[in-house]
Amino acid sequence: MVIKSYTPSISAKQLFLFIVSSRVAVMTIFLPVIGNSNAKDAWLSSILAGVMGLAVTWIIVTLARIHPNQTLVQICSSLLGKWLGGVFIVIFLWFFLHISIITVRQFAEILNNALMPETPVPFFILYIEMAVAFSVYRGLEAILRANTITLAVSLNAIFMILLFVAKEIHINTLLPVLEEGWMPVIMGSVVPLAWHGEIILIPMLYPYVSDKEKVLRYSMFATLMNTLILVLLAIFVVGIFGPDEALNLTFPVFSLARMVSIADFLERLEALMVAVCMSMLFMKSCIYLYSGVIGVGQWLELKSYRFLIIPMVTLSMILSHTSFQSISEIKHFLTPELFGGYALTINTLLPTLLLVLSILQKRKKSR
Amino acid sequence: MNSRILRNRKVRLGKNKAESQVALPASIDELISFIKAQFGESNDIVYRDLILGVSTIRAVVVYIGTLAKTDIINTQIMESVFRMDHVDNPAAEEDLMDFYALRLLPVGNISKIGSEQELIEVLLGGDTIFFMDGYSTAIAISTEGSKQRAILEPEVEHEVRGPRESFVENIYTNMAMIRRIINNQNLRFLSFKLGDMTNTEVTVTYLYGHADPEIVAEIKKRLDRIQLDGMLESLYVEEWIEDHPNSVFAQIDHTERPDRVAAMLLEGRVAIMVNGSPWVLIVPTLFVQFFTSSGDYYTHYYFATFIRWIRFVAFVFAMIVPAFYIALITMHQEMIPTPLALRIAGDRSGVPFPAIVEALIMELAFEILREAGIRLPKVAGQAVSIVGALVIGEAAVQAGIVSPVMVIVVAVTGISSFAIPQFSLGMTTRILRFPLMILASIAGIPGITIALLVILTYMASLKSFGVPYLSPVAPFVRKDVHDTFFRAPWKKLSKGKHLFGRENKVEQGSEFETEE
Repeated sequence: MVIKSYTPSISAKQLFLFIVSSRVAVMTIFLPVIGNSNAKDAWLSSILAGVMGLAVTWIIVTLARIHPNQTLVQICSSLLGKWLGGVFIVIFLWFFLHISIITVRQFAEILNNALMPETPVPFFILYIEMAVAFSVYRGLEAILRANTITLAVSLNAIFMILLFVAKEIHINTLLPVLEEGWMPVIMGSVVPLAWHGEIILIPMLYPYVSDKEKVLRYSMFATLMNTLILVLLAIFVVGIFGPDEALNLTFPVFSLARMVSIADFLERLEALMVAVCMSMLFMKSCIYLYSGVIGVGQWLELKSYRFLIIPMVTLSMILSHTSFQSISEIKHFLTPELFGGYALTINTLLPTLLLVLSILQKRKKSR
Repeated sequence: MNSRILRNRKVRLGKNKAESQVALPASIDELISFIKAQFGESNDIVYRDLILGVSTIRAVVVYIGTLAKTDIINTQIMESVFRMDHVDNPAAEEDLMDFYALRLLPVGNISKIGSEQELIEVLLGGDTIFFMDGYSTAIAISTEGSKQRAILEPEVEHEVRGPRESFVENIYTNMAMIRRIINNQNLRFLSFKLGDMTNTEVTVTYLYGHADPEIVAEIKKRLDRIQLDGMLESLYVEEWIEDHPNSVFAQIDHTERPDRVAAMLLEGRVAIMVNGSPWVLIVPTLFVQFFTSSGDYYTHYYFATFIRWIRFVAFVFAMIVPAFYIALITMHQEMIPTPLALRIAGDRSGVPFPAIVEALIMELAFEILREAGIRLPKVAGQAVSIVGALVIGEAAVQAGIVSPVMVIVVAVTGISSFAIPQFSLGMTTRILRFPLMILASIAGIPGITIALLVILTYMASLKSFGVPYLSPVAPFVRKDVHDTFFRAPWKKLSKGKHLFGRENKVEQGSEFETEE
């Protein structure tokens, strides 16, 4: 059978759901706001990050809207030329791969930590990457459609768990507000903001969206929704465990789920939480790897890039095994100083630059 | 004038059409020797020599005795031919052939044929040939009507309420059943001849104006691709035209109920009927469709919704219960409530095998029993397969080969797979269960969960004639979702035809190829 070329067609709604699921995945694992000394104001940090996230979202989506038929890779090469554009492309592609590496490693660590402590992490990495490779092979539409279903289940599960533990919250632990001033709040908002910048994927998938005019609205909505979930989680975790204990928890949201006990029957809901997390992490690593594959293919202007899947997956597999020694090392990497600077440079600064350049170029053309 | 009376022969697609037409010989002896040469020594071909009325013109009536209705031939054709001398002789200038066709043969459907190919086709269709010496055309008289099975109640898709007829092997009877339900001129039948040797009639049925013309065209295109010697069952067509022939998932729905076909046609789907098979294919098929049965639409909507959820649960059970049990027993004992865990551990203490081996033995035994149940005589079949499983299970437990919980697990799985209304999806779960069990024994719950995510992604990538398999859920189509997780009341259901969540063209391709 002759393989015909085929442009996937996704909807803005599916993209929206994907942004939510990729962000909620990160939140439920580490709850990135509770990284600093002042956990009490974590919810404030979340709101702050959300507000700034809206700006980042606007920048990135506007960049995509100016070039509706080009992916991020094509935007770079057409704006900056072959060589400088190439540098940008390599940075972006590395970022996609890196996120996929971090995601897979987190995924494997969670499985190892929460469910099967005796099974070695590399086994899980291998297993996940095989599954990811298969799914990427099935294509973008399939991943996003599957995500629609899993996210619906996941969000319901999360809200259900929050509802069950709501009676345990002690509002007093959240007071007083702004005990140590604004500085810790601002520092605490860096990492969530860096994760908000994950929507750098939008320009990568924008050409495939069928209802392009809705993308901006939906991605803004996604950022708001993510902020809402983050605020809720922060209030719940700190409100229930207190600021000091919350800092020491490896997986705060899982611990939250462990608190659920309804009539001595509905217990051990963290297994459900792990399943929720797994589904979101899985979709996330699939999409990032997909973007990486498509990006490399478009950068090198290959005719067919299906064959890139296996090498990319293998690379991601090896790197996710070797980049980190343990879960605490990942956690250490995801601090405002390291990850914050690194991710914000790539997913905010570079797109801003590209946006400015494209606006200038547009003006030049119109004259 | 003749063309008004003589019916147009059906347009038949096939390879014979391209061949050059050989005209019929003008003498009876030549014609008979031609037919004898073509059909060989088959003894069911009847030649009846006649001398027409007072004249001395020889004629012959030829038909296949096993296909034609002999009483029509005796009472209608023979009688009128022999009564010819009571009628005025034809005017000299009038063609004797036309005279017969127009005045004498009291049969509805007759046609003139002039070539050898047509002659053979007509004979094989059960028609009777009337041929006169000296003419190189013959009259084909429709006498088809061989013995056929009576219309019975559906056996597989049995419903408590609703019409009680089911399709039979004869395609014309089946078409008639659908016509009787949908009394509308927009109901269209498109005929094909498939199977180089069997020349089986295949009919594409759709409601003009409801069905997407693009889908109908695509079905035609795919049917034309079929190259087979024999076409014995609609499954032959199914395997040729489905979008993903190597997929383990059932992609084309089939039914034996005319009312279900009619309902699907009204929704804009297309039915494919194959002569000789009481199973009618329905495309495009969605995954949710396998969880519906025609009974859903004949019961009150909240009960239908409840039943539908039972089926979804049954599907999930049939797929993952044994795998989940294995994972819990081998990897995650701490997740089982303590009293139950102790109980299971106590029961399992005498069992010499690991859970996966135990499960495989029992599942295999169950599958064998089920298969044997189908082959056994009808009366004994079900009793043996269900009771047999329980009895063997009981004995195996007492002998200490398997634990009692495992018997429950296998029983739940087995019963669940019967609760899925469409048999083909039940088979999918039967196949997928085994890899899931093995993964569970290696990687525990993560193993199952990731495998299920992969299966979900795979299902989301499937398409049936351009319609995403998981629509209207993913991609979500609000207009169509009223007949998925719940069945909306008829007041809302009847409005508007289905869109099937179609977003793309019917054509398939790879996303990883650039456009050239």
